[in-house]
Amino acid sequence: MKLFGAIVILLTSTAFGWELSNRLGRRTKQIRYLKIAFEALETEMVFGMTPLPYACEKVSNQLIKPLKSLFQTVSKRLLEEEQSAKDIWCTSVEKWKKSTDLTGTEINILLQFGQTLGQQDLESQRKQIRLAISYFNQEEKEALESQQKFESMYKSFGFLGGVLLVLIML
Amino acid sequence: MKEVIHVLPDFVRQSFLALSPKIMNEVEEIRLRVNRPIEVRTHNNTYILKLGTSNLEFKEPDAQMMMSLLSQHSVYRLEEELKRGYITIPGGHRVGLAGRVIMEKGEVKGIRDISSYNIRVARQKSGVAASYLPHLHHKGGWCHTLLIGPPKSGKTTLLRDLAKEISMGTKSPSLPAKNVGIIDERSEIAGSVRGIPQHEFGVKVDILDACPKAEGLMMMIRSMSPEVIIVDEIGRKEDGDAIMEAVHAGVTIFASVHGGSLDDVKKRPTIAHLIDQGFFQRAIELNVQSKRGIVRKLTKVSTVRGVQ
Repeated sequence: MKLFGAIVILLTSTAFGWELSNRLGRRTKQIRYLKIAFEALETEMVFGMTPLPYACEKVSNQLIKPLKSLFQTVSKRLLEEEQSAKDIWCTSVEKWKKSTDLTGTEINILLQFGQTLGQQDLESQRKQIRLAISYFNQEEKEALESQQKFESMYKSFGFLGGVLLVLIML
Repeated sequence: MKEVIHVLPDFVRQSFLALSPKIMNEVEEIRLRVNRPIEVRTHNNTYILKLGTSNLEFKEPDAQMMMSLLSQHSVYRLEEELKRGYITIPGGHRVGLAGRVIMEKGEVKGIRDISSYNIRVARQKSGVAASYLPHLHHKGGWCHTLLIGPPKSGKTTLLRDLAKEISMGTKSPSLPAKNVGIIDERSEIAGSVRGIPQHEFGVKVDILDACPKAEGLMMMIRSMSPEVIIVDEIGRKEDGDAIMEAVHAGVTIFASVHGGSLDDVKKRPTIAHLIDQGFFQRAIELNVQSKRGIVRKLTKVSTVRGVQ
């Protein structure tokens, strides 16, 4: 019975460690996809002159979860609801952030970008997208660093923490 | 009207739809200004939109919302439109804009912080041209025709209907359908949205949208081999030169010009030159009050009942 309990503790704590370290990897990946998404958005808006709802739809088609759902929702709501693009974007981001591994910084960049979405002329709109992308670049670098630093650490900490708990309880 | 209603912010739409059908049918303009009551204008009356007993007011956020609705949340697509100061929306209606003008290198780059919108409702009036047609042909071909009239006299409406009739072929006079080229510098004749005309024309119509007239005339002749070319509001010297070129190229010209009467426009050197040289064979003078047009040949004058 004791042995069984020890194994359960060990397994959960290891799983917890894995989850933490995976989250780091997923964050890096999601930031990278955000960059791709914004580049696609730039192409659609600046060169394709596509209206915002359709630009978002096209961008969402090129993405995978969880990024896809953000652009999908925004596109759908822009077509259906009568609200400013800013409000739609910001409320959608707020709802969507729970399904991601992004931190407050990235979400803030997204919200900041939303403030002027669709309200500016071509040049300013382009600058806004560029600005967001450059922020994401920084964030990606930072995320990659912490991934390398903490990834294996979280994994071993999870396992070792489990061992510690078991030893204490013994 | 559906398209116009669609671009109004919700609360304006509600009280606009509450207007009586009679007013609705006659609306010519809807004027929205920040912090001012909203005006709906028909040909001879102005109505103020009300909510209950108090006037509706158009606030700054509403102005922004309206821009979003007009552009489908995509102001970045309206570069050209903001430079020109008006947006053509589906249905051929035009929304004039006023606000803070942005300059760059001494040229207007666009308008920001828009404070006034003027929605001009476009109505295609079919049949306006019918009564003029019998007077505008000569030996089995159309005559070079100049339309003269003050603003709001229906020049563009008439040009539009002429384009339609000519491109479909007419029974009286019995003339076959012609290839018609329209140089639509101000997107008024065809009301194009992304190059697609919003007004109904015959099959054989090609449109150069938002193209300067002088260049457009030559482009059209080179690329589309039109038999009839329709241009709006000629006046500059280049326009005159281009029209002469076109006439020499064997294309029939229908043009309109601002002015009270034939004598009025003859005071303008470009037009006078064209008329004196005999480039135009017919002139139609439009009158706002009587809603009649007078077709003039060189000497013969005949009055035609207009249907405007």
